[in-house]
Amino acid sequence: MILDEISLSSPVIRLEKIFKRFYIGTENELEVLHGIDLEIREKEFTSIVGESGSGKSTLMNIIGLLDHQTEGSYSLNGMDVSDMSADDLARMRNQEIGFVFQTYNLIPRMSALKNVEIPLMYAHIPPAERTERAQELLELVGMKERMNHRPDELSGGQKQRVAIARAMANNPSIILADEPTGALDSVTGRTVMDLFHQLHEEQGKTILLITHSMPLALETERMITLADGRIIQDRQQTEEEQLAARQAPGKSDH
Amino acid sequence: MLRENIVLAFTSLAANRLRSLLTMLGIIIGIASVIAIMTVGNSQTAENERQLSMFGVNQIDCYMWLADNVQIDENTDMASLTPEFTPEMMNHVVSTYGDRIEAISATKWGGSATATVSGKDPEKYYASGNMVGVNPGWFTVNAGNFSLIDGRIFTEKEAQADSYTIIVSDKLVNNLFDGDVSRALGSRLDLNYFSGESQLLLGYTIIGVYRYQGYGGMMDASSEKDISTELYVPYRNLISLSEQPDQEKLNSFTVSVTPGTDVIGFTQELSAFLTSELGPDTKFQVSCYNNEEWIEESNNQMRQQVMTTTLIGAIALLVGGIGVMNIMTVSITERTKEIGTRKALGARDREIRMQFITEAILISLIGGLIGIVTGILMGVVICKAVQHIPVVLSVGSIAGSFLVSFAVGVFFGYYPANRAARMDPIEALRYE
Repeated sequence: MILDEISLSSPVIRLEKIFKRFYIGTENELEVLHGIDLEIREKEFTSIVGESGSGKSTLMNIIGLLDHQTEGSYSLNGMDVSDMSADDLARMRNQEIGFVFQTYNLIPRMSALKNVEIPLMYAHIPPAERTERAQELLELVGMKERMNHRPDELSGGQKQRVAIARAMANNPSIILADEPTGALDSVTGRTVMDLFHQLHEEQGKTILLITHSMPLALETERMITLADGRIIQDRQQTEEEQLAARQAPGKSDH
Repeated sequence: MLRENIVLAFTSLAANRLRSLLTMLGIIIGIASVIAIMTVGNSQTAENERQLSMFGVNQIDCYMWLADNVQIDENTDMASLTPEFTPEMMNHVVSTYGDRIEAISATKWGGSATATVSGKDPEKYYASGNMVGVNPGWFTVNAGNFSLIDGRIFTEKEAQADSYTIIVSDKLVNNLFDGDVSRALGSRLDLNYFSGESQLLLGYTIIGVYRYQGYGGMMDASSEKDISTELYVPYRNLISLSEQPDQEKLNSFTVSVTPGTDVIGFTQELSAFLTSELGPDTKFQVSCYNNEEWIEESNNQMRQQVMTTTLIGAIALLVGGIGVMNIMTVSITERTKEIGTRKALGARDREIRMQFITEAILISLIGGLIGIVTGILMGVVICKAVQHIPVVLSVGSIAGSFLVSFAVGVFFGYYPANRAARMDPIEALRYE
């Protein structure tokens, strides 16, 4: 895999002077990101926090290779993705990025197992191997018993666990979680956050959490605050701070 | 990937069963109507060909009659106006077209006759028949509906005026020889022949026995014994018994052509040849016909029917195809978020496109299959219950329908599928 060829100290994500402008060349031209510099290293559990309109969604779309910066350079896992073709970007999303969405985005007509198999299918993994891998992942997130259930037969928390298993299917370089507890009640949200911590601590996953909830951001190793299209704070948090935030009651309410 | 796409397409069709069925309806109606009419048409064509082949499709009938512009009044010498093919013309036909002519049949229909055998009570042992004068070529031309049980046909030597040889039916053998064919062969047959005003007593030698093929419901005789069967005698012999025995009258004849000959082309050629043989000052005209013209005619009708059907089918398929396109557009809009998710998970544009084209193809293929089955059933019912003819399935139209429904899926699925493939994943993911 690509990961083996890269030195472990090199950053998973390196953004240099990223600008993003919309409606270019019109009267309504709008600059949303004003030169973002950001490095995320392997096995880091980072959060990006910011109010609505701060540009965090735009930044996430660029990091997730769904959108393209107007200016600046972006290397994912040491590879410059700025000039990649649409097909190569699709392959990169498939191999290097694991998306977790606020609304889970499971395909309604398919079982949990089949949902987890989707990224493996697009990676052209043979069916038998696919099923085996998907089962392992569902076991890891505690969903093995319900793997043949369809999304509408699962609770919100269960759906998000399936989605997290799906995000890890191709063992990506980074898991991009966009408000993963946003649609969940505080107790369920807690269990989902605990799952992220577990994946980070036990599996050594690199996780980037995008949220507007300060208490959730405080749980992570590093908190990046975005306001008005600029990074206004980039702060490493001590283990005590993280633990305290995790144990504080009711903080996943936002 | 294809397998997944098919499974996926099935699950999404199954999720909206009624909607899928309604979408298919246009295709079902289109394909079913085409298949039904093609099945009936095909069966009808096969039936027509079967019936016509009994008359022989490799035959050409030539007739001569008075030209339209000949005026007849009381001073006209009727004897000079007898339309006939002269022996010279016939010889000329043979010498010119010998390579394409298999045989020429000449027929003269005589009157009725009563047959008896000497030494048996004519009140109990008799058979009635109709005298038919034929040349040896007649047997070749009519090979399709004449079957000799035993004995032989006339040799060229026997085909003369003084040859009193005869070929009789098995019915006659039943009546006069108790069905013993071998005893009948070589036996003498006494005929009481009514030719015009005169009644002749003639003695013939039986040289062959043929199988009588009765015409189903056309029995006008009061009993089996009274059925009139054909008594075949040499052509020239029958002429010699007529009122003008010196004339070998031939106002019509039938030609059977050698295999591979273009019957329609040869018919026209023969017609032109015979007309030119008559010369410019003739009072007669010649026409030649063939069964293939009938077949062509019926095939033409069939072709028009097929064209009409195809038009109906095409319109129905167009409507059906637009239905498929419509439902795919709806389905894709409904699944915008799914498309965005799939793209985020690494689906390439062409994989999204294939997924939805597969779905469109599946809708129209299932519709096509239902249409084919429905169409065959309708065709069978019409053939069996309405037209009473054996069913001959049109394999070509079934295979064609299958391909057409496949193509409808590809054609009408492409546009919506392509729209899905080109969706902006960010917009798609944001879609609620």
